[in-house]
Amino acid sequence: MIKVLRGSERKKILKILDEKFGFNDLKNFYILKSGKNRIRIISKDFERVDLRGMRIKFLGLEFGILTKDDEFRLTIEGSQFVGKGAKKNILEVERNVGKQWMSGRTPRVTGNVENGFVIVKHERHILGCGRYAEGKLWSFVPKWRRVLIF
Amino acid sequence: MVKSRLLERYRTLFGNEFKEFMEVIKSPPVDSIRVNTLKVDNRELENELSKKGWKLERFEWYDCGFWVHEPKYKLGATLEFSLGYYYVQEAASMIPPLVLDPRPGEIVLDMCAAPGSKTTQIAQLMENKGIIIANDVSLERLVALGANVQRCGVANVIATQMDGTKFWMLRQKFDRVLVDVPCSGSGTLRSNPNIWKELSMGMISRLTKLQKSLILSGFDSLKRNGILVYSTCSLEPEENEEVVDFLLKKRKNARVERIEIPGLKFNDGLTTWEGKDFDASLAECMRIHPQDNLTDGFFIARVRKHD
Repeated sequence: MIKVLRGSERKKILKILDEKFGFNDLKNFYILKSGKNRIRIISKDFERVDLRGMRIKFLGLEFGILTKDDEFRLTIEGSQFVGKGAKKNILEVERNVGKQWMSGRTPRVTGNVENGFVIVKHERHILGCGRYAEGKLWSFVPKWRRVLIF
Repeated sequence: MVKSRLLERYRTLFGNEFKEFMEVIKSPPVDSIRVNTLKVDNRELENELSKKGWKLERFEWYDCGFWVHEPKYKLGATLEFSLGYYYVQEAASMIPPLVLDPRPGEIVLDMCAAPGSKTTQIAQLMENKGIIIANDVSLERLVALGANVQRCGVANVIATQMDGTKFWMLRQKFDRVLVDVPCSGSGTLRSNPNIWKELSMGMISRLTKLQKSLILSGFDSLKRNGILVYSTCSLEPEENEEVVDFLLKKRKNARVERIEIPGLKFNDGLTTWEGKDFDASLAECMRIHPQDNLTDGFFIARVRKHD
C-alpha cells in the first residue's frame, strides 16, 4: 500500500529532515509512504498521470526509513539528495574508515556530529547514512551495494 | 539455424562488408560505461577515473558514453559504480534513448524496460522530471530494474508489470514510447556466440508475431504527434523492417522519420528482402552493423503519429 503524504504528514517528514540535517528542500517531489515506515519520493509530474488500469509494482525512489523514534535512516540516494544541501550532521571520514564502512563493517571514528543517524562523506563522495554513537559508525550499506574497490 | 544458412543470409545482408563483419564478430567486445549525469558531471568523473589509471575513450557520438580499455577491475565492483555514478551498458544500447530524445516534463512509456539500462538513461535525459512508465511482463526482471533505478537515483519512474500488448487500452497516452522488444539477439553474436546454435526461422517467426503486437500497442498508446522508437539488437529483417512495415500498413497516420546522430556510422534500413518489398520510407531507419562502430548490431526506427 502506497500513500501520498500531504499536509501535516508531509510537514512532519520535512521537519525531521530540517532538524537533523538543516535540509528540507523536496519541493519538486511528492513524498510517499509505503508499508509501515518506508519513505519514497517521486517527481511532482506524477499527478499528471492517469493510473487507472496500470498494475503498479513500485513508484519513485526509496528515500529512507522512518524509525519508531521518528528518526530518519536515509538510503544512499536519500543521503545524496539531502547531502547536497545539508548543513549539519555530516561526518567526513578518511579513506580507510570509508572503505571499512562501505564494506559493511563498524569502524571507530570521531567527528563533530550528534549521536544518531548521520550522513557519511569521503572527499566529494556522499557514501550514505550511518548510525553514530560512542565513537563508532554503524553501517547499513546493503550487501548488493558493498564495495570491493574503494 | 544451421550456421551455414545463417552465414548465407549475412552474406546477402552485408554484401561487400561480409568479410569485415566476420572479422569483427570474432574479436572480443570492449567494455563500455554510461556516466549517470543525475549524480555526477561526466567530465568530472572522466578526470577522476583517469587519475585512478582507467583508460577511457569518449564515444564520438555521445558525450556520456565511454569505452573502457583493459579495465583493471570488474566494472561493477568499484565505489563509483556502487554510488551510481556510471552504468555498465553496451554502447549500441545507448542509441535508442538518444533517438527517442525525451524532454524534461514529458510522460514517457518504456514498454519492455527491464533491466533498466534504457530507463535510467531516459531519466537522465529528462533530468528526473516528468514521468517514465517502466513496464515489463516479468516480475523477476522488474526486481533488477528496481535495483538499477534506485542505484541511479531515478525519482520519476512508475514501474508496472503488464503485458505490453495491452497498453493501448489505458486511458493514459504518452508523449514518447520506447518499444525495445524481445528479439533473437543476433546483433550480439560477438558477446554471445551461442546464438549461432539457438537461432532458427521458427524462433524468428514467433518473435516477429509478438513484435508486431507490441509495436501496434505502443503506437496506439501515443498522444497525437507523439514519437515511437522501435528497437532490437537483432540483424534479422523479419524482426526489424518487416515489423515497422506492418505498422505502416496498419496505421495510415504513422510516418517514419529520418534519424541523425552526428559521429555515428550506420546503414539505411532495407526496402526489400528475400522477395518482399517494404515501404520506401523504411530507408530512413537506422541499421547498425557490428563492423560500423565496433558495437553490437542494432536496428532503430523513429515513427511519428500524425493527425
